[in-house]
Amino acid sequence: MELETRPRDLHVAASFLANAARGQDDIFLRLVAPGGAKDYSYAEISDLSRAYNAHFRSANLPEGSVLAIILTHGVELYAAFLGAMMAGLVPTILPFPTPKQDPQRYWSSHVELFALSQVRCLFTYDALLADARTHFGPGLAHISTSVDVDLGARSFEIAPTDLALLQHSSGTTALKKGVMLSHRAIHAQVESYARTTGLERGSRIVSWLPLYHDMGLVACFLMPMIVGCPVAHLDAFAWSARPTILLDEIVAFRGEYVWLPNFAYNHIVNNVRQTSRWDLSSVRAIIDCSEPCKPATFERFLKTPQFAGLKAEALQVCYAMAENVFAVSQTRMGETPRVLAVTAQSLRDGRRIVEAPPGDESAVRLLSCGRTIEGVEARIVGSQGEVLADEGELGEVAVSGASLYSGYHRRPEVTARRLVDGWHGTGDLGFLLAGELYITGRIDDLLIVHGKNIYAHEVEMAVNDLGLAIPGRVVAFAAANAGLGTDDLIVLCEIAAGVEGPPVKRAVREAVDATFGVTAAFVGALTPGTLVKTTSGKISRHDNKVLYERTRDAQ
Amino acid sequence: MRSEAEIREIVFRAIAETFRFPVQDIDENTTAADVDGWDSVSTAKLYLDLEDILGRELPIETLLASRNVGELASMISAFLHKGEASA
Repeated sequence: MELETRPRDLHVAASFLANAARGQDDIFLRLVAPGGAKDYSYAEISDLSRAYNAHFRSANLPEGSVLAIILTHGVELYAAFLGAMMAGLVPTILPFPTPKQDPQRYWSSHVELFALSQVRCLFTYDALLADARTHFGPGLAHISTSVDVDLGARSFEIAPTDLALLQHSSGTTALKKGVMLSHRAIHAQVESYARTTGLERGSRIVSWLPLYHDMGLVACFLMPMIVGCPVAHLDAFAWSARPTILLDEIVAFRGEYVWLPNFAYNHIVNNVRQTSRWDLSSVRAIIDCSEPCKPATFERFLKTPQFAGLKAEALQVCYAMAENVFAVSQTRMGETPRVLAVTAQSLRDGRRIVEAPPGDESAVRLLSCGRTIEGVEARIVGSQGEVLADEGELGEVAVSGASLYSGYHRRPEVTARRLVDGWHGTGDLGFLLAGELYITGRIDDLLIVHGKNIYAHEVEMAVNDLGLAIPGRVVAFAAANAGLGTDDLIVLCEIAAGVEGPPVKRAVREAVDATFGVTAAFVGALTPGTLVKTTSGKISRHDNKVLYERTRDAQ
Repeated sequence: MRSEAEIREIVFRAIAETFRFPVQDIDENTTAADVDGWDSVSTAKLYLDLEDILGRELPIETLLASRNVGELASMISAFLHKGEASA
């Protein structure tokens, strides 16, 4: 693989332009929309990026200013991102408001986020300008839109910044943390991860993943720019409503690499018609990432008769996080990932896993996340911070290495808690066995729902703030959805006698959707005294989850 | 050709069956937020069911803009009638 690694090229935009120089007319981006696909060459995107570079330079913003980009997945997003980097700004891609979101709530939460993170520059569409101006008032140092860009102007300069971008975490918008990623860390990650996966110049990627999420941003946006891979990108909403369009595009594009969260495999299979057929023989890897990966998901996907030519070893697993740019570990390409059966009791005890004997029906099957990629280290840490070096010992996963983040933007107190002596405490529980990493859960109340991370206490706070439930009588948890191979978000609250349930349920669901971008699968508006409390009088997430699942399964 | 009222009835029943929701509780103003389990992922199953019942591929990208069940039924009805008119 040829990869530019000279120091002057340790810049995402410089790497992209170097690739563009090697194949001006080659297709870099295919945007797949419901009406058809449109191809963009390297030359078109680099040319457009230079116009955006000139635009941002003309604003005379201090070097290193963070620029929030709120655009849909179009060619402008690529050009704005690259142009901002070339102009010495630090871009961060934020979610575009969805039709279901209340604009008031969307903008006010972003005003809070911008204030906390001291983000003062925004680039968006003209259609959002009035709303943005109204809500931010004088709080922005710069705001411009795609119609402000002079497409005839060009700037060829590249500002040699260290910090490349901010990647905002999931969760409540206002509390999102901006993960600071340097050009050097991104290049270290991309070089190592591309080598691990065999990705090289010309490898074809197909994706529906949004770019405000690390998997979409790094695997399907930054990595293709740096390595020089054409990408076919589908709209996330269109994919969600008709998931088999991903397969259509793999066939049309002869796609080789796909990254998916675990639920997406099942979502595709659940929506396949018996009469359909796709030739997936071009696929080298469909890599499961971003939420717990399940052996049953892979088995079901492989057994789907409509998927012709799909090799079992094409289904791969990656363990990744924004704080490490992306991948920490990856299963070995060309081999099927290892499945380990462990006793449920050893997982509950939380000290050391015990492999389950054959025939143990209560055994929990875990998919290996593979070995750490070159340049990245992972270790298991106990509750007192001690390193647990024995095989199979359970503890928090900590990561270190060449692609680690530089901290959370303007959040030194959170950085100091999570990043200690060059090791990032992930909050994930897991163990190492025979050199491979396995993830078993979380040490905190983070819920992973359809690949998105949200904290239970933040959901409860948002619901409490609506003022519809009895104060403090709200609980949020995740319950397994076997059909999708992911967790569903469940919210239960108690309402006062005489209050009607359906309007409360609707308001809760709308608020959770607007605040977290996740739909609560079930909202219960219960009579006072229904929720289970702990002996200390707190609402118990665990006991209410058990009660909910028991009731659901009895139906 | 199915009437608009028949199409509305089909949409109501498909929602009721897909989400196991009482059909009598569905009206034109019902939204996804009123129905447990109706999210962006389960919407795909609803569309698949509707396509099977109606025997036509629906313009999902258009239907995604519907704000409630009444709009969804109207959009489907308009699409089907337009298709038949131009056939």
